[in-house]
Amino acid sequence: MAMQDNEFDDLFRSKLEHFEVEPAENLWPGIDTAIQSKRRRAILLPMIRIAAVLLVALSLGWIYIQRQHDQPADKKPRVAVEVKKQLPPSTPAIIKPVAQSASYVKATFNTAVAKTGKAKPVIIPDNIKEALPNKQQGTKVNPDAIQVTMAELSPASAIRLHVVPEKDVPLNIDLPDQPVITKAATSTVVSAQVTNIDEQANSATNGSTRPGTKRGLASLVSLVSDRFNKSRAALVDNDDDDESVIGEVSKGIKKIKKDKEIKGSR
Amino acid sequence: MMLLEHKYNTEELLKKCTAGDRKAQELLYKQFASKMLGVCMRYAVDKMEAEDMLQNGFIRVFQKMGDYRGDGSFEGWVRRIMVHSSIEYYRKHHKMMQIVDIDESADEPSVKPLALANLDAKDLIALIQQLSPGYKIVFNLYAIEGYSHKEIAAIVGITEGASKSQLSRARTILKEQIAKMEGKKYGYAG
Repeated sequence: MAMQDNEFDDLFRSKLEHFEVEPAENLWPGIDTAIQSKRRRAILLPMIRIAAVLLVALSLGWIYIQRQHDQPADKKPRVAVEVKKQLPPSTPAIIKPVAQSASYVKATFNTAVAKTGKAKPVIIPDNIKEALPNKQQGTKVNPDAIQVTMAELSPASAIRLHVVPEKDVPLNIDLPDQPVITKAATSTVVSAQVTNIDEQANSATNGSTRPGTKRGLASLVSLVSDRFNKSRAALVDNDDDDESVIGEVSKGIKKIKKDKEIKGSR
Repeated sequence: MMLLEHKYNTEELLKKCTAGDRKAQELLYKQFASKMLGVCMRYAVDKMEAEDMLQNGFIRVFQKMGDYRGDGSFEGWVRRIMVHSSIEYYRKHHKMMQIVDIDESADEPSVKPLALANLDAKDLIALIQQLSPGYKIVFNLYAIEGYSHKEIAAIVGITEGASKSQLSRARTILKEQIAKMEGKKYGYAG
């Protein structure tokens, strides 16, 4: 009589279900060491990870601090040198407009212009205009009357003069030896002169000097030119970057197009 | 006495083992080692291989101790780990299991119940060990562990059909072997 499959299986199961074999003696030590080493690894691994993260964070922090230390030390002297080069106090600095439409030139407000009456400051910003007594440009103004306090000349607006250049004539920002009117300790009047180069001779002959004011003026001029240079440099930098990026991108596009054309022609 | 002590201690033993108590782990190992080696023996070629399987299985048991939620007997849980560890061992150390669909119309040798009943566990283990890996695993899982073909297909990574045909082939081979043994015992060819 042949056995049914399930009977056959049951017989095997009943005989083997509780089958036991004594393992070799040396089996446990092997298991034990394996467990211990894995346990140690499980404890060590997170610690190593934490240590690694800390190390990275610390080194990043150190680099950051180093940079912060280096930056001011780097920049200050370099700016000072540039100012000296560009604007020696006695010689007039010539600023050429980049294009005819170039309309912003930073300069300081000049009371001497009003005094000489010949040099024509082109445009005076509104906030400064208001501070002026009710007189026309180019007419004589008592310099004492023109006092603009620092409060009125807020840094950004005071320094920016709207200059519309005449044709292609380069603008000449003259740094006069004129005194800065310092009436009260709290108020300061700033001076500079914007003339056409043709008128330079006239203004030069007419300008009379007062001693003792050069220093304040020079520092102010350096501040103005510093700002101007900085913003111009920033502009130039940005332009360079953008152009280079755009250039690379367009090159890439051109290349892809070319490749496509080559493939297409095949 | 021994049995009572073991039963009483099992829960506490598990807690200590989970906490990494080496003494407790050794006790637990001693409690289950020979039983589990009996399981591994069915999957292995010989005792050496079975002990390797046992070793891997126990390392896994202690690693995954925290996963045991208490549903079902702990012994059953350990046994399942041993089975999986044995199959894993095959994946690593043996060639991929043969998945062959065999012509099932081949005439099966007939085995009398008495003949099988006369064989002891050691003989049966030896018979199973001789099977090729695929047959051995499927027969063990189905006939002794009680898994369904669907479960076997999932564990081993074969189709249900392959599982069925391998089981059938395994039975045929085992019957042939038993018949041969009977013949030898009683002095005539089966």
